[in-house]
Amino acid sequence: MNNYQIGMAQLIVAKAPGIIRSTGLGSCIGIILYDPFAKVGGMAHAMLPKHRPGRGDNKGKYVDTAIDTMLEDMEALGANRLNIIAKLAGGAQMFPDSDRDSLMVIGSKNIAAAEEHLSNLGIAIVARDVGGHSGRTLELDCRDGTLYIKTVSNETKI
Amino acid sequence: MEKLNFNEQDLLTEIGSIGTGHAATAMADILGQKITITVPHVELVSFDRVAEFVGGPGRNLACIYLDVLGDLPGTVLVMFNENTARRLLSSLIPDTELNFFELSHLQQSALMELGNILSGAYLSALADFSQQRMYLSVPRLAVDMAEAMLSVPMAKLGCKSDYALLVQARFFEESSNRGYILFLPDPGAALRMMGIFGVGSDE
Repeated sequence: MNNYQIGMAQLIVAKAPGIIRSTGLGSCIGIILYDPFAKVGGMAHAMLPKHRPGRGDNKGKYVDTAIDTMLEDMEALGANRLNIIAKLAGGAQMFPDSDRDSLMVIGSKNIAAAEEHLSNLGIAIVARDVGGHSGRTLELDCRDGTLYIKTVSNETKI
Repeated sequence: MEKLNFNEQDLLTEIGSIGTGHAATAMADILGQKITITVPHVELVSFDRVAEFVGGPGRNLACIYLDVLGDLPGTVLVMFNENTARRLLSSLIPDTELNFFELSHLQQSALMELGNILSGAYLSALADFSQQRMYLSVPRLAVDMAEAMLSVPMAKLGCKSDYALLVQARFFEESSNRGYILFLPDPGAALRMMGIFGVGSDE
């Protein structure tokens, strides 16, 4: 089996029958890209909405650079950009909100940034499990693009 | 900053020891029992590795989050596993029934107050030692997977750096009971601390 595990601010792409896992996404957003014909998938565990120069060059850290990098890596594995679909999971608010603390709403900013960047690229978001107040563990099956999601109290798939 | 030199490591371990020593005393006073605490572990780590220092990304923990404000800004996290949270709460609130993932308001308040007292002791020792002004935000609480809760302070650090400077200490020695106190200075605060104590980085 080809099992891959990614952590915070990382990304990876894989071919079927690969499985990509990431444990405990909180305010981070899990961006899943999948080409159902080439059976090539990718997952990013992105922390922040937008790359700005001088903020480090880890591609997996930002929503926009993570998506761009995954697309290139997936094409290198034989995916066709026109066939690629997206799923989103994560972007929770882990700690209760306080007045004027923008850090506590970083999750919703990450969701909005992913939606915007994917829409600019013309990539359809076919499923999502975002927001809320719980961490999520994600598992992508690259054979069919199913995304399994676990929280401390629940399990689902999209 | 991508790597700590020997002097920086030494200074941060010393600072961490002073802070955790005071926090342990405060906790022992509240609980009326002896508290064991480890020598702090100091390391500059990439974001994907931070959860290793609290038992792994999928470990379920109660986490009290506090922003550190003032001259040396950063974040303090006080984390307990379920056994430890049970033990602490039962000594603070006798006969309490506990569902770890659905704590009552009283249980939440008690844990937040405990986090507040520990962090307060930790930081006032550090503030005295460094002669800097430091104060804490109100505590916030979550009970969830370690990695998910760590994403919040990491997002704060991630705006400026690809690494987190971690000053971690562990409470309790028995394997079933685990408590952690993590001090995460902002990158600017870490440099300032080195400056205050005359520990320059190797150029």
